[in-house]
Amino acid sequence: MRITRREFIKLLVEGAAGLGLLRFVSLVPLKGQADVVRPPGAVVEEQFNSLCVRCGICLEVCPTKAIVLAGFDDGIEAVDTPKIDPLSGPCEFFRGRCQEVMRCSKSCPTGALQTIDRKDVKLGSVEFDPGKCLAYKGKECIVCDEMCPVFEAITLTEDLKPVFHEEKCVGCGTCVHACPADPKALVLLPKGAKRVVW
Amino acid sequence: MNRRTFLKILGALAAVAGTTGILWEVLRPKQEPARTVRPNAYTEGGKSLLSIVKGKPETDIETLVRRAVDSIGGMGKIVSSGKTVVVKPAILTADKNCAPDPRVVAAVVKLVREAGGSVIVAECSGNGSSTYNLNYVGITSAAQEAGAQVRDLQTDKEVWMEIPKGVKLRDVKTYSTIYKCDVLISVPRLKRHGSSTVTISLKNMMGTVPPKEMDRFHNVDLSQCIADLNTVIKPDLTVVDATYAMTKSGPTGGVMVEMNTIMAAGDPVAIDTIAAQKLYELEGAPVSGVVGIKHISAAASLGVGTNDPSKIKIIEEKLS
Repeated sequence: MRITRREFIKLLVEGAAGLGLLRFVSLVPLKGQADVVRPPGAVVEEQFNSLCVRCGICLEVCPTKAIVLAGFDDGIEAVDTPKIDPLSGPCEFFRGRCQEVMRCSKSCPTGALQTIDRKDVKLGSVEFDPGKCLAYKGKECIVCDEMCPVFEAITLTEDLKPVFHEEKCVGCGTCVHACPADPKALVLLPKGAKRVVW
Repeated sequence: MNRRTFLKILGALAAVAGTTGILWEVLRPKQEPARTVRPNAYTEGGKSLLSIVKGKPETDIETLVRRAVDSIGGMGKIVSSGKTVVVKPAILTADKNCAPDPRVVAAVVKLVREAGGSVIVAECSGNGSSTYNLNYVGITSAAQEAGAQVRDLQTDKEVWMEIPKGVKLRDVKTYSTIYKCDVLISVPRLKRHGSSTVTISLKNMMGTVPPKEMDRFHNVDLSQCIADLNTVIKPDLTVVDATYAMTKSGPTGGVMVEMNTIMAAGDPVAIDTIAAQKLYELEGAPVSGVVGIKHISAAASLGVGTNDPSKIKIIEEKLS
């Protein structure tokens, strides 16, 4: 195949423009720290990116389908890495179909996810919007408190409105998954996540 | 275009419209009539019969359950040979304190089978996988050993049903197993819910509807929806596991208190009322608070049962 210098330079410029455009549509700026909630036992973000080979095995073995693949809106460097999406399923490490078995970490071939103890697991914490909460609108609903697997991460006021305690929250996403409001009053964020240093 | 081509096109359009119409009619979800609910079989002199049997820590659980059911008239009043009976334990999630003791469920299954019925222990958990939860709390193995089938309702076919007497809920989706069964038996554990109300037999019926319906109840008016639901999905018998009761808060994380008690009644409103009183007494909370439990009074207003203690005949027994 013969290519002229002009065509080659044109191809380079178009390629660069294409990548630049992709970079532009990422909502998260290009930085070492992707802003995603990782499965339990994840190493710190800088190491995560080097270790994770984007095999997707953790996603396949998770019994609740809590693990999904990050897309472009999580940052171009996070594409196809595993993240927790409570709308797909809650992380049942603390109670339920996982119950500390940690199939995700056990099957990770590179150590991006490590098997750790229950006390060291914190995926993140929830952010609560009382404006969307059914209880704050006078409805009888304490589903988040009912389902929370961690003692007193969610407590109730005298008039049965939920209060969230970030320091006790383990970021499992059970309350987010269970919240019957539409749109949901809860979102899971990576803030406060405990990560392993490899 | 000539006339022949035009007619061919018209014919083709008519065939498409006709096929679409037939498919739409065949495939659209249809609302079924309300499930037949029978009046309370456990009454005496116009009052709802209710038994409270208390044993010692070493008392055999099957004995407690048998005494409780026999005291109000026995399983034979609602189960006979060939009947399909659904036993609905209140599971919610993978928590052994929240769910009833598997030995209580097994005892109920045994009594049904002695009366000639076939048993399906069915559940739709509010949290997680029903199959996992039933297994985790020990009910799957206990029920199967006692001769029951165990069914995760989330794998069952949905049935959309009307609720003619519903105040806020005029229709609901349930599952085929529930819709078609001859007899429904509710087996809840006695527990607090939130910090001011309770979850006993009436609330247990929420585990017969899909999770999306549970969400709908919370969005509309939880207490009224529970009452409306019980007008069409009403247990024929309730056996309350109060061997250990969950106090102070619930349905998970509360303080478990030993009571060594089993309660039984045909009237779910009556048993919720009296069981709630027992729970409040245990905690030292004022028993008058039971009157304020909305879903119980709403169910009473709809005629599901009675919350008036003067219309309930209590048979108490202490086993030595």
